Amino acid sequence: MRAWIVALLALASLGCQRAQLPVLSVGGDFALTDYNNQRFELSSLRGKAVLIFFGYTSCPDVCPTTLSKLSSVYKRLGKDAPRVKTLYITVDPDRDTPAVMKADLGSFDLDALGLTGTKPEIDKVVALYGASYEIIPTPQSAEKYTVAHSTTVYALDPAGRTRVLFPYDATVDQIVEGLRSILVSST
Amino acid sequence: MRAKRNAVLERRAFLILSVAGLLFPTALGAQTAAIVARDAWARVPLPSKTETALYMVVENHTAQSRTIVSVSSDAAAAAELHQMTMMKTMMVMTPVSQVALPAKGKASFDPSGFHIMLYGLKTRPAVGDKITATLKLDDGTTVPVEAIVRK
Repeated sequence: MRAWIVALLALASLGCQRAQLPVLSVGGDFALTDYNNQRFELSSLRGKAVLIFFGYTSCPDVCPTTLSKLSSVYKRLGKDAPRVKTLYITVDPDRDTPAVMKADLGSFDLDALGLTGTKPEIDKVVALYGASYEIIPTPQSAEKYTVAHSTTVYALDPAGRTRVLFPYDATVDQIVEGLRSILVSST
Repeated sequence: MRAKRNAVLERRAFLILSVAGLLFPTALGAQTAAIVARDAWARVPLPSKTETALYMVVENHTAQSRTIVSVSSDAAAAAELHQMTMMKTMMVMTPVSQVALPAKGKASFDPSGFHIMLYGLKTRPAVGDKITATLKLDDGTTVPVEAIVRK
């Protein structure tokens, strides 16, 4: 008798999980250039969950930290790993050419596609996702400018809708849990 | 006979210098032994880059507050003090002119705060290599840094 109750409660909570992830108002389809210099369209990823974040490769801390964290997320996803695609969109297209992004992202242990484009194209995606960035000249440094940027990781469901926003300090556990909820609610 | 005598003299000189060094640390090249940089590490640069960040903890065991005013390194064309800060909803890395070292306190250089940027690395460091740098303080003294390169 107890086993039945436990099973029913488990099923009910799963059903509750499906209702718990709202469809967020930020997001939407876009087109950019990937690090193989090919035209990329977000709609080509229908059927997979997608993680999107914005950064630049000359970023010494935030971006490597996020990439390392997502590498750990992929390891924990195990057999679900192929169902999640990560997109890294640069907010520094002047320096982050497809070749640079391909070389640098390749040094991380995760399946992240680098995306770049013209400034108007990138600005359009930044606005779509409610992200932000600012180029700040640094005349006192050997580097000509630094780039301030928002650090949210956006999680989309296999229908391309934004379902979770992970803040910079989200843990590997939280991201894995969020992705599993997205994947479960889509099967 | 002379060799043995020289050896004895050498040993004596070594002893005297060691004791002097322990009693008067500033006598040896104006280095501040009471302020130390420990657990220093650096990332391997990304494939397309010749820059990297150095992290460490700098401890000030003295009763005087100090400030780190600059950094230099033979390993790179330029070494700079930087800080990660929040700017509205964004994180940003900016150069800073100094880092405080409170009396009997410490300054932490880590991925979320202060760090040292090395630009124009002269050779490409590999995991396990050491990168040396020197911190200069407001009173003119220096603190050596030896960082281990990690993935």
